[in-house]
Amino acid sequence: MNIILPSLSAGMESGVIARWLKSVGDQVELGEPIAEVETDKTVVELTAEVSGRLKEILVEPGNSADVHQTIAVLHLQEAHAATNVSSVVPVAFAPPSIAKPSCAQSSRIMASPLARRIALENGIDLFGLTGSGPRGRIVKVDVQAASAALGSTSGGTAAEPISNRTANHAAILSAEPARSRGAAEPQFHYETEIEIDALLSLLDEINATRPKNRQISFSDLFVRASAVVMRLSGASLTNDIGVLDRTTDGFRRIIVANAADKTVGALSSEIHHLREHVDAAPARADDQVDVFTVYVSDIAGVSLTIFGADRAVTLSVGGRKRCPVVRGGNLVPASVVKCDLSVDHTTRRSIPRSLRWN
Amino acid sequence: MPEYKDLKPLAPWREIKASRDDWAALEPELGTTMLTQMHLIRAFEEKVLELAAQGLVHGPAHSAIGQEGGAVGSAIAMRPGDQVNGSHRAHHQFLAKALCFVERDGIDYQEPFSGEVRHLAKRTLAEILGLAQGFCKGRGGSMHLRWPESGNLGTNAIVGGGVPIAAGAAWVHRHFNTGNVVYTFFGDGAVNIGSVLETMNIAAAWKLPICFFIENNGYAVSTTVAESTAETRLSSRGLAFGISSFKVDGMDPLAVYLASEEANAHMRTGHGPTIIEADVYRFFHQNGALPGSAFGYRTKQEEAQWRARDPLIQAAQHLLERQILGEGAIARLRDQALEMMNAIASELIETSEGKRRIVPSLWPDESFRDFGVRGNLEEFDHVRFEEEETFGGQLKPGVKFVDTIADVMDRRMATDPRIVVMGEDIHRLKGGTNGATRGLARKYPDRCLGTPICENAFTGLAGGMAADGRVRPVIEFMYPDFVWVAADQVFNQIGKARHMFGGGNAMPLVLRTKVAMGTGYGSQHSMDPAGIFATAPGWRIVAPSTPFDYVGLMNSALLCNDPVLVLEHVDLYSSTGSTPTEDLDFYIPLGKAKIVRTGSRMTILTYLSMVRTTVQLADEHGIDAEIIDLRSLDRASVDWQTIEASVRKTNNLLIVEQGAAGTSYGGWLADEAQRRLFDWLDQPIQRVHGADASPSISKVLEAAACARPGDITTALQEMLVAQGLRAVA
Repeated sequence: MNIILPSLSAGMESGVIARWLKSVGDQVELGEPIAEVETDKTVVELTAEVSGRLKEILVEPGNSADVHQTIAVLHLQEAHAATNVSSVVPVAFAPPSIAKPSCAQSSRIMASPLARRIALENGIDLFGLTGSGPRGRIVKVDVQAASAALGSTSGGTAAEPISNRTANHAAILSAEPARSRGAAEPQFHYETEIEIDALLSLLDEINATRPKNRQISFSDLFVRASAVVMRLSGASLTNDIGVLDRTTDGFRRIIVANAADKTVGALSSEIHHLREHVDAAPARADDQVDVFTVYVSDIAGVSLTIFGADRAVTLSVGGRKRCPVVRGGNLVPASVVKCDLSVDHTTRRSIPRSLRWN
Repeated sequence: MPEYKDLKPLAPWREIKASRDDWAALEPELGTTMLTQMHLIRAFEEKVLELAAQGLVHGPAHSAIGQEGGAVGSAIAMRPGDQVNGSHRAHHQFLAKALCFVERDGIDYQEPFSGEVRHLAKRTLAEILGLAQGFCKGRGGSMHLRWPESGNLGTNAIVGGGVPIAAGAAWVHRHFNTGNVVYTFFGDGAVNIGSVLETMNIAAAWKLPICFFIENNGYAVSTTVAESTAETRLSSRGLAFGISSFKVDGMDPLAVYLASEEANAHMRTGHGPTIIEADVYRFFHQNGALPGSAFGYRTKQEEAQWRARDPLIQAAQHLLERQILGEGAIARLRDQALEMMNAIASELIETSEGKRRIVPSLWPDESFRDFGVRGNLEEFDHVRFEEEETFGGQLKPGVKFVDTIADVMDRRMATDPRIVVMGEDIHRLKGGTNGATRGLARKYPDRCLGTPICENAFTGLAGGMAADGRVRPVIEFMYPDFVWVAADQVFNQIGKARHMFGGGNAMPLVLRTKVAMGTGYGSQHSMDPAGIFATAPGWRIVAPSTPFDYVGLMNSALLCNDPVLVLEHVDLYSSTGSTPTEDLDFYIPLGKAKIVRTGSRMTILTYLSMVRTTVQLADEHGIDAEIIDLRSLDRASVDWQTIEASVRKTNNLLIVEQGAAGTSYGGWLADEAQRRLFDWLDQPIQRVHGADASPSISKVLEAAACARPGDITTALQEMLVAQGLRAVA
């Protein structure tokens, strides 16, 4: 049978074979480590899912392989495998091992209810995970492994309940009070326009591989970008990112915890879920924390600047339009959006250098 | 040629007729009270039929118009402490007994009806209409009329179903020597059903003061008596059982009265039961306002002949002849009864947009729907609960499980004179077939009753005893499968009685039975009845797996005001455990499971003998399983708090039981568990249970039909594999 490179962490697309722990011709037992794989986050041991003899190594150490690529071939020894397994479990009950269907290949993700919940709480994208349960079902251990690989949880236990993590979702009834407060108190305000054609292409590329109901939004990209920048800059007290939504009552903010630890896919799922399931409570005093908040207006041509809501850094993106830009002395048509960054005076840290775009 | 000798029945069988002298000697007040009662009942029933014809009675309205003579003639011979029950056609009997209760000194036909009479008629009509002010708060309707204060034990919609229950009430009268008697009224159709014949037998054997009052109206719906039985003189049944039996013209209330007087004298003096067969006629069809002839099973001529013998006319004729009252008075009596019923109906019915309807505010509130399915366990408010691990007293190890059963029963019977144990052979063989009632018959001879083989009758009898409240019966089914034999009494009667009659009446009864899988008793003796009892919300179920738990759970079962099934298992009988040396007076809460082994990889729910087996296997294979002994199995008592906490920890749930798939218990539990715990589950809820078919007698086939240790081990491994974990050796 072929040994394929599984998805070892959420959003993993490829990995580097750090080293082979078995040589061609070696006997490999079920569950035995056979290789070390380096992902962008960590080094993970790849274990044998069935016993056999290593017949061929297709990816040499130091080389990269795509997820689901065949990296080695294992020669199954039926009799040996059967005795090995059936001594403890009847063959029919042995772990699914051969050609484990990858969730990436089917639009329906098979995951246990528990696995789904842990994934949501930890920002793990089930899309791309390989399931260890019956018929490739993603179960708790798979999500925990992915979570450990991301370093988003400690000790492999389930994260604290989602309700605790989202306690500081705040209802912001209107942008107006913030504006008036902004007028009365000093605020820093940056404004620019950016080209987004490359961003839109990237978005199309990502979404082409994703199921229709799991598409990444334009806004999700800004959330992800903001999270990464905030993490890199070390500017924020938390790794949380606020996402501002316009509702019929005004504005509502939801908080994505540990946003920088999550892939754009995971962020997208979580934001989607929070929008559906979280009723924002009225703002409380303890909501007054530094949370970098993103607001992306999807109304073409109209932009809105949000002033220092909740005494945080707020990035407003909007006013998307086609317009001529100067490139190499020529005027070319391009898609641009207007970006406003407003910073409340009480923000405890200075604006990170990386957020300055001029 | 052989010699023949005519054999004589043990008991007499006679027809009684009221002579003209008897009518001449009838006290005027008694005669006018009879006539007044019959007019009240007639007017009441006519009103019910009128409302039924208008679509205002939901469900059938079985009228007894024409049959009033039997009900009134017998009720008027009773004293207030006597009791009655009846069948689906019982408005007349209910009212006659209740009228005798509210107007003990008779009714003066010249006076307006008293407030009590009016109130009785209104509450009864309200009940028939299904209204909140009815005797059973609208739950019972026409066929379940109960007013215990008046001696009405509750009428019954199962033909013959109320008969064993009446015998239970009669047993209590005999036990306490009250001299009171119980009349159980039923029709010719019920004479051929097992409940009735079984009860006649046991009542005669035990000399119970019960009168089997057969209203022979000639038709079971449309089937004639002659079609149903060869001996159409139905009082003949008494000959087979040694019951003194009377046949009487039920259209003549005085004749019925005289027969009842004789029967009462017989029963009150400890001579056992009686049968009165009253020939009567219902003027209308089975239900509704059309005559039977409209349905073609009898002729108009036949109906006219019987109508000419209308008990109201006959009684009036005698009273007229004696000039006790005149035609004008009789007409006024009739008018007064009709007027009262019209007035009562107008308080319950209104006209809205040209249509007659129930006054909407009178319906029961929908929130009342499930109230009183079972009691609220307030009887446990101040009792002492104990667990083996934290028990403060002295414990004695190595006690045999089956000895504990006898010990705790002995202790309770010594401290609580209400407890009565009943069952087949429980008084012999050193305590029944397994020794569970050892020593009880010797110490408590009048409370340890070896029954005939008649599960349906003795279960119903126990139901009647429990409903009375003065005794707490404990019945034993030698094998659980016999529940099917007694199914009507177990499920239709005992299980529903509290709810059906309004939610307020207790049913403190304990049913012991032993699961016998593994003993080679085959298809009809090897059921685990937990799954079946769990379908009946009125029943509670406990399944002790250790001697200590047996003490606490049996004490709780005996204290509980609801029927409780106490499950035992033959595999546990010879097992040993620790029981208190002295203190057998503690309780274990109904509704509290017990974690018997802690673990983190899976939660296993099990009970009875499977607890020990599952723990042993988990230990043997080193599986990190948390095992919960459910102990309380009924829907109201499953300990979800403990189960949910465990599954939230382990994320995997396995339900283990021994018995066949069809009657298995775990299905509903899995259903409820997935509803409560879906987001905490890492794999589908798994189950271990027996095969499709009931276990066979062949040892090999029996073993294969029951869940075996190997099945459990396989399931434990599967549980791990499905989590992406490796199975363990």
